[in-house]
Amino acid sequence: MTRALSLSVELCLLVALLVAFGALLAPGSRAGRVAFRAMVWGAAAALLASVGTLVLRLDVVWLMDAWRVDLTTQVVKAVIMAGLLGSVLATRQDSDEWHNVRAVGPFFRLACALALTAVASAGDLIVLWLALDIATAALVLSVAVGGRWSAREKLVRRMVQSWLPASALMLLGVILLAAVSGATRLVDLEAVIPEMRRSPVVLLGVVLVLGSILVRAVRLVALMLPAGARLTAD
Amino acid sequence: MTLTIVLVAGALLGVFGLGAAALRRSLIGMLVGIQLSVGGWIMLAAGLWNLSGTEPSTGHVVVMGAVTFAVAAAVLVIALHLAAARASRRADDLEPW
Repeated sequence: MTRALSLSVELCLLVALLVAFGALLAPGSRAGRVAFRAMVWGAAAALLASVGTLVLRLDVVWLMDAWRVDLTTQVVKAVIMAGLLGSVLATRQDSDEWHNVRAVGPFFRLACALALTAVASAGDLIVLWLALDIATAALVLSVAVGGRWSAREKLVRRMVQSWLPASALMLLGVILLAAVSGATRLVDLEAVIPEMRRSPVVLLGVVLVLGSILVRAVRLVALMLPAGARLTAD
Repeated sequence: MTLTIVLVAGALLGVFGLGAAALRRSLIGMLVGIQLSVGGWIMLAAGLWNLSGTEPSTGHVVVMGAVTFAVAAAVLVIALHLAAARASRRADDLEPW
């Protein structure tokens, strides 16, 4: 039961994502509103689940340490869910926009949030890299489909230009670290890297992995925050 | 000898691809550069795991992940490029295609 509870955040988001996907495929004008409600309720349920699992102080691993659930991961997930709910409130729509809301935006926002929870729980370099890429791609798509292309084109191009090179460099860092240390699990790397810290290849791998995560996060936030105010007016 | 050739070729291809991506002349040009660099890193991974005598299964997983990323990035960038082209034609009162 405790092991099952450790995945409650992801389950809430997955159910909401499936509802949003159904709304995406469904015809009719109400589909967008159904997807939007699924996003809000899914994020609220996931936030409650992350706070609940924090109280329970879970410490569970899945898939041979590739997926970890502990105090840190649940705190990060609570922050992500709060951010998702905050982004919904920040882009609150008036009654005309509410009737015309589309299902694609909520679907990609939910996909981004789910991928970010995977980043928080990642216990393996490859899982971390793939989850970051899925989250970034979903974020780019949620911005791209959120309104008129002419208003968003420049922002989307800059987001793609920030994402792809950072991801390629992170892949190189993952390959170097995994090849030299012989491990991709973060638990094993924590034990091996301190002994190999003088190796230039290991240092390069660590710099590439951490640097690409940092640059990607900072650049995407820097692009989205000032643009967000302009885009919500479109 | 083969390992050295593969590692050098992979590194050169990867650096060339990143350089092409850094020029940023267009989305498609950047995509081609990224695809070249990912191909170079795949050669590196293949050489480091398959030709160096270590257990190759990790290298296979890394290569599969890299291929998945490359395909997804290509689909996304081409879709964005098409959306931009359609919007541009619509702005000129032309048919989308």
